[in-house]
Amino acid sequence: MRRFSSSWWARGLKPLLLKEIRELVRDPRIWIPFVISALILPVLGLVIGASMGEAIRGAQVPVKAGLVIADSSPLAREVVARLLEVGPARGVDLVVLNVSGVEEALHRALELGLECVAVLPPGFGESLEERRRPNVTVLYVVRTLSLFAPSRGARLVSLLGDVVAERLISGTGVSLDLVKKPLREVAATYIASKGVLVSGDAGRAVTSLALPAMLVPVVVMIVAVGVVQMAATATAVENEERTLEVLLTLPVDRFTILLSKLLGSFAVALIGSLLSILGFIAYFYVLPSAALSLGEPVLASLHILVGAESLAWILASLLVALFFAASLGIVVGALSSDVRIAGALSGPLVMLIFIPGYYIALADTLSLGQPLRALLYTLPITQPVILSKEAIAARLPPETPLYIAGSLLVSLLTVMLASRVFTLETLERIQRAIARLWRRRGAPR
Amino acid sequence: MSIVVVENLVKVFEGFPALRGVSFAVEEGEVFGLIGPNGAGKTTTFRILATLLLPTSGRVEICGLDVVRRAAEVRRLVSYLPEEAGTYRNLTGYEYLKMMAEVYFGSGREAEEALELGLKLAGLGDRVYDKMKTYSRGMKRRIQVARALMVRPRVAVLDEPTTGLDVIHSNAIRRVIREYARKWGVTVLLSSHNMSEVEGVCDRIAVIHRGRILACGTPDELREEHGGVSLEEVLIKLVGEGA
Ligand SMILES: Nc1ncnc2c1ncn2[C@@H]1O[C@H](COP(=O)(O)OP(=O)(O)O)[C@@H](O)[C@H]1O
Ligand SMILES: [Mg+2]
Repeated sequence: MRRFSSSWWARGLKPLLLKEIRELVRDPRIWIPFVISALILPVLGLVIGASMGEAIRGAQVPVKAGLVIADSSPLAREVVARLLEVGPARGVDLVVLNVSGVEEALHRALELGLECVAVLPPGFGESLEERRRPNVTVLYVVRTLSLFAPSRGARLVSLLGDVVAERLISGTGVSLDLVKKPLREVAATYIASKGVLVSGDAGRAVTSLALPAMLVPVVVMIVAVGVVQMAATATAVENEERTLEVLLTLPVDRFTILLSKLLGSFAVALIGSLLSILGFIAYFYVLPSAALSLGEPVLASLHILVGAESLAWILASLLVALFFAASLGIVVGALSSDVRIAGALSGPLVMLIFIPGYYIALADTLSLGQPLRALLYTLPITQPVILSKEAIAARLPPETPLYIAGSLLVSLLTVMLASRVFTLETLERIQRAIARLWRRRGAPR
Repeated sequence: MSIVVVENLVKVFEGFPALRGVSFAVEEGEVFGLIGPNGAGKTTTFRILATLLLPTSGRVEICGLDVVRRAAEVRRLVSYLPEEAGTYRNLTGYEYLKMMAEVYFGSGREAEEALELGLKLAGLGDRVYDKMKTYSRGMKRRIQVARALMVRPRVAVLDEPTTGLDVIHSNAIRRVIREYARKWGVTVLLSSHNMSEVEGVCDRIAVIHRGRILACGTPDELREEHGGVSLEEVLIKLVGEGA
């Protein structure tokens, strides 16, 4: 076969590949999706961090709270006095409201800009005397739908609870702090799926793993979508400009023509994906610094938890996925007589990538049925998503190399199938059918 | 023997007969014009010659090679300019011609010669080093014509090479085709829907309408046979009759 000879390279692939890369790299529009996906994560980090910072700052501002006293017993008065005494130190600005009924209380709360009002009903002191749980009615006022606002009002209830508890244990010689936190706990969590021991309780360990485990798949999908669109546009332009028609009459076989487009998109996608990966790393640096005192950077634990070997497999799988995404894009573009149709076709296709991607990102993939897992592990697009998630949350299965070989096979089959239909005869027939559908839907051409 | 032989060529698109038995032959070194109104079947005929489409029936041979069975060899001998051919936006004209020279000849002296010829045929001066997205329609077409001719094919198939261009560019392209074909003895097939555009260029002309050849001959023969003062009139007369 002449296919792998140097003349095949010099007279076929090389000039065509060079043209492809030049044409792509010099087009500013190509870079837009990559730049967006590279910027979106640090910006996301900033936004999340900023709202966390807001919450932390909100914690430092005293809560404006009201108190309605409908019980005149001495015990109730004692509690009120204690509340007014320790309130400022606990970040609660208390005012006593002289109202009767909840409606009037609400009215006054709105007037004074209070965030919550507690009503001590008749019989409050009596219950306390008899060591029963006293009734209390709490009214919260929500002004904005900030995620962290509701927790502010709870501060009043916690203060009230402490004062009542203090009263209940008075004379026993036991401190309130001891009752509330009777154990001195030193916790460590063993993550069985990874075989690592980390300090802190399970909740904390799971949160620090779950965040990157869900974000990495999202990054992978964003990159894949960018590649599909780029390759589809690049190929549809060749239809639009009739340059594909020229290519198909050159003394070069169709496989080489297809391969040059594919490798060109792939190479440019690789550079673009580096941008996205940088953006992803930036996310983990921006997030904690924006959140002020969020503590340890998550990236550090990520780096410890995904070993070099797993990382290598994920990268290999990512390369295959990019290649596959490029070939999908080229098929879509070849079947589109212009760029707009290519855009309209790659939209739904991208959905097909995103739906399983989201599913993997959110679902507990370890408990999926074996056939479905094998499928998700073999399809070139879902594979890096599920691999990266499981590498973070657990460990890669021993048959990973097999799965990667499988996805490579799927990609190559796609290219081979594509090179079969890659004749003007077939392409035009399908293009015309698509264009007819397009017009029937009433869309302008 | 004729270098291009088209015999009883039929092409049916999903039930629509675009070509209904087209026959003509082109001699080596000739500039041959396929003239007809829009939808006559010119592009379909040329695409079959260029191995882009498969005939429904009939026979097409170029240099004795069947365009269906020996398509890969035919592609070495034929270069094709599509109708309304565009360009790559972000390549310069120079880069485009260089790429094409390499595709045909690799990187040796032959490729350099082809590139040199291409630059001469394009005649764009220093603008050839600008990105092609800055080119006018006429400049793009000149690059494409240069691309098709510079590799010195046995047969150049040019679909409407001058349609839609201003006088300056279309004249330049006609002159290049004329001079080039003489100088290198290349056979050129070109199409147009406008007789006056091809009058001074073509040695022989075939009039095609609704997938059939209505007449074929030198411009003088056509004028004589069909009694027109100008070729334009001959075309109107033929197409009017065929309608
Ligand atoms: N791929 C195709 N599918 C269906 N009809 C086609 C196709 N290509 C061309 N036609 C039809 O065949 C006829 C001849 O077209 P064409 O060869 O492009 O004519 P010309 O180039 O002379 O204007 C036209 O009626 C056109 O609509
Ligand atoms: Mg045409």
